[in-house]
Amino acid sequence: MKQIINSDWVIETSGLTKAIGRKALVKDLNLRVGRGEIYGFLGPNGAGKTTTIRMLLGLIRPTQGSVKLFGQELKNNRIEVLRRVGSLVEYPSYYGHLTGRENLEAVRRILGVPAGRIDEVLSIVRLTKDAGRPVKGYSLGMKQRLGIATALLGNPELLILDEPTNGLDPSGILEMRELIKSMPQQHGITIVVSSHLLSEIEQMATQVGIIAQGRLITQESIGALRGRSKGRISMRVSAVPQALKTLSAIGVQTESAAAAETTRTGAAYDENANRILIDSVDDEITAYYVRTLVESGIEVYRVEEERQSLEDLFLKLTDGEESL
Amino acid sequence: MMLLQLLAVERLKIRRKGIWPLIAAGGFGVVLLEAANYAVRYDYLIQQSADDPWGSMLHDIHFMAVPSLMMGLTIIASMLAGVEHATNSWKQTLALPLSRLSVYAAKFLLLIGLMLAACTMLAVGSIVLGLCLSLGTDIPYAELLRISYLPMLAALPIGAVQLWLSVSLANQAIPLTVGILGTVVSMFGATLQDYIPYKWPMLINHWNEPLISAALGLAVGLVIYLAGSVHFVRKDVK
Repeated sequence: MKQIINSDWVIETSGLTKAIGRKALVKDLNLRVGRGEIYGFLGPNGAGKTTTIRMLLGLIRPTQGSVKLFGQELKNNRIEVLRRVGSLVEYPSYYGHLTGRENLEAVRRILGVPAGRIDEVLSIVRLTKDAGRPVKGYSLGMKQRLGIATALLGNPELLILDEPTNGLDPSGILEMRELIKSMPQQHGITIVVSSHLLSEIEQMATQVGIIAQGRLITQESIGALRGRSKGRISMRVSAVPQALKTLSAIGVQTESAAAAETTRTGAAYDENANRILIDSVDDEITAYYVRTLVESGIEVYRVEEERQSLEDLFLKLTDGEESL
Repeated sequence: MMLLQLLAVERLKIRRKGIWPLIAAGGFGVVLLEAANYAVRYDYLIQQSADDPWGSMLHDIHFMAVPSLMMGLTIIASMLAGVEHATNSWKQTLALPLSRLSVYAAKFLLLIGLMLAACTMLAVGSIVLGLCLSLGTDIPYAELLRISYLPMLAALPIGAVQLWLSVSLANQAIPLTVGILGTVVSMFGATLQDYIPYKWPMLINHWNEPLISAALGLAVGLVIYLAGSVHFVRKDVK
């Protein structure tokens, strides 16, 4: 895990833990979110994303650990800190019998921003036309947009959006994504956006934190994560130990597929039993490796390119936790 | 300042929820019930209460106002919490830069304010009814104020309990059940022990001093309210 020393974290949690009874929902989380980032908080359903976000917003108390927002302890400066944060947690909250504008007004009075701000946020999420209708008649996409408008009302420096594309149709998702991507550029806002869909995060995030079973598995830039998912060459050979020895003798970094699988997930599949893995190289070098192996008396049965998508990486990272 | 803002926001949230018709039904409804009572057996009632016509009418109104007050506290508390429970707006409201104490205080103050409005309607309605029934212009104002407002003070513990339950539990069936049972119990208030809060709104005690019931209600009500707000501040928001 990459750890940059930086006192300018917008979000910094240390050993953040939430347990109910003896069951830890979130365990020892050390989140680091830098200014101006779009931080994708990724994990399967039930991994602890929403619980974490609730702790970031002071809605629930951590069992252990602390949350710092803008360098200040959330616990001691809750009101001051929350003034700089806008949030949308899980599905949108609204007062269905009130109009869109009245919903915003209820929040505006608490934030104490000028009345004109309501029209601004309505136009950002393109709800100006429907602002006079009761919200219970809105489509889910419109309710979600109203939620975003509410989150933006106080001109936040940090926007925390929990599953903002949940339940939206494809055009709604696209629209939400464009909206989110435009914000750091236009307004210098830092955004944390959670999702259980890697494709979502991949398309907008600059930083990614992956959580599974309440633990943070990895936290790095999207580029670094992509780098980890580059292709490899997999060879099925007659004798893995000799093959590893032969190739390392000519200076090739290689490993047994089964061992790699085991270190990553704790168990290996049978199909990896006779395989070795080599970082992807071009055709001639591949041919040279094969020749070397064959000349050393090792049979090569299969040479395959293994393209690991980010999706595979995500699945491996998260499933691995489950089987531990 | 914050509290006033919050009160305004709380009032905004219950707009078009039909709370005012409910308050009016509670306040004037009791008076209308008493009017019906007189309409059915005017001569008998007037004859029975010849020595103190106003006092007799106010006594009847107080007796009927108690269950109305209890139901009012139950339903209004449930509605004030219900607007937040409906789409779980607690998580939005409590992630705003405000103190949880003031959120709870605003709900409690609005509950009391709305009930006081109903009490005032009861008082005004009683005067109008008395005049319509030609009970004379010698209106016993002290007694009128006593039966209109002291029950509300005496019922403060019930209001505080109902708000606590309604806010804590998403399932409003539970506070409503508790409130309805409490209403039934309070109707037999006269037979209960003095230390049971459900007796207090009847303003009956062995000292024969209605103010004692009201004072007890005010004190115990504030204690329960404080306990409720401490719990609210500490509790995790789903």
